[in-house]
Amino acid sequence: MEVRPGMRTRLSALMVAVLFAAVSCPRPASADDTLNVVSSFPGGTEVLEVVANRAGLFKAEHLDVEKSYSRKWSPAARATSAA
Amino acid sequence: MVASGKGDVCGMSIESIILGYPKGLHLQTFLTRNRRYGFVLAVPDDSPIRTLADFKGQPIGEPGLASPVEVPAIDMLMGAGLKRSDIVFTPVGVEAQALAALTSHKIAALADTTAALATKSAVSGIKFRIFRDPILDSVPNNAFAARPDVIVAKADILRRYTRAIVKSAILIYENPALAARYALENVGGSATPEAIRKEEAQLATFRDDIIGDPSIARMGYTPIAGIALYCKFFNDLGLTSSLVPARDIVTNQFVAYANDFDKKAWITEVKRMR
Repeated sequence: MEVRPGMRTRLSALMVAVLFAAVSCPRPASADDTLNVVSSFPGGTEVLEVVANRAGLFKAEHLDVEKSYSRKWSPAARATSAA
Repeated sequence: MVASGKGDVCGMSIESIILGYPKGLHLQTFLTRNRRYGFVLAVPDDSPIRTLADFKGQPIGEPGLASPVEVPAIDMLMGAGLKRSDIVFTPVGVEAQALAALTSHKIAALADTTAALATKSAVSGIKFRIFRDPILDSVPNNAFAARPDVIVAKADILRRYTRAIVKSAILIYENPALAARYALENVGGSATPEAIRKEEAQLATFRDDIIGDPSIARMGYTPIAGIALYCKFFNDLGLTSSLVPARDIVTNQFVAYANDFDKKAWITEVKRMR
């Protein structure tokens, strides 16, 4: 097959770009990366976990963090208790 | 829940771990959440209580009967020359109930955590004057903990978890407005400018207590000697039936990995984040 001038360079650049994208993409967390984290209720120093989750820091570490609370709560109840 | 295997990790106060150890509930902390001792005595800024001696006979609110907050309060006040009979605790519950007890003068002070006081201050507008225990102040007592067998089995996951948490702590310290928005969104709150300002004020109150201060070289590290002192304290007061070995309830094995990233670059990045 005839390779047109410049085609090999373009193909190589494309392959490098695909490889870079694959490497840059965070690998999805697997079942082995699951961590169950328990708190009493939202608030206080739990903000460390909340921010880590919202800022994508767990995902960046390929972690699947499952969160649960040992006490029943709702946003409304939290607002009432804090007011 | 974590001790019974219903979860891998929990954030908790170390007092529960010390008290549980002689009863066979073995948990180990692996990353401290606070850089300082969390339990303090607090009075409203306009209170006539100015010194520890002024607490003599004054009712001190605590969350519940014989709460762990009594331990440092007694230590502080007896250290200042008060007798045990001079120290009066009154159970007042938490949050709104505790605030109501304070504003109605049922109590003159609160024995509480700095984080809980931050919430109370943000929602009520009350400014607190804080009294810290000079001996225990360098003993962080709020940490992530897991069962020792979970720490062994999930070591790789836990070390990545600790790094995410340390990065989060820096974000909270360096960009509190963004952290406030995340915190609000987490509980389904509307992130209005006023709500963010209130949440940010709350975070600012205990900003210096959490581990995100960049001057800390090993964020999340727990001093074993300090915990050993604290365990002895519990034993001397008769709160534990035996002296709990500090090395059994604390490990710092993930701290080096948790701090192994370019902190200067991360600080620059989080300051830009919106």
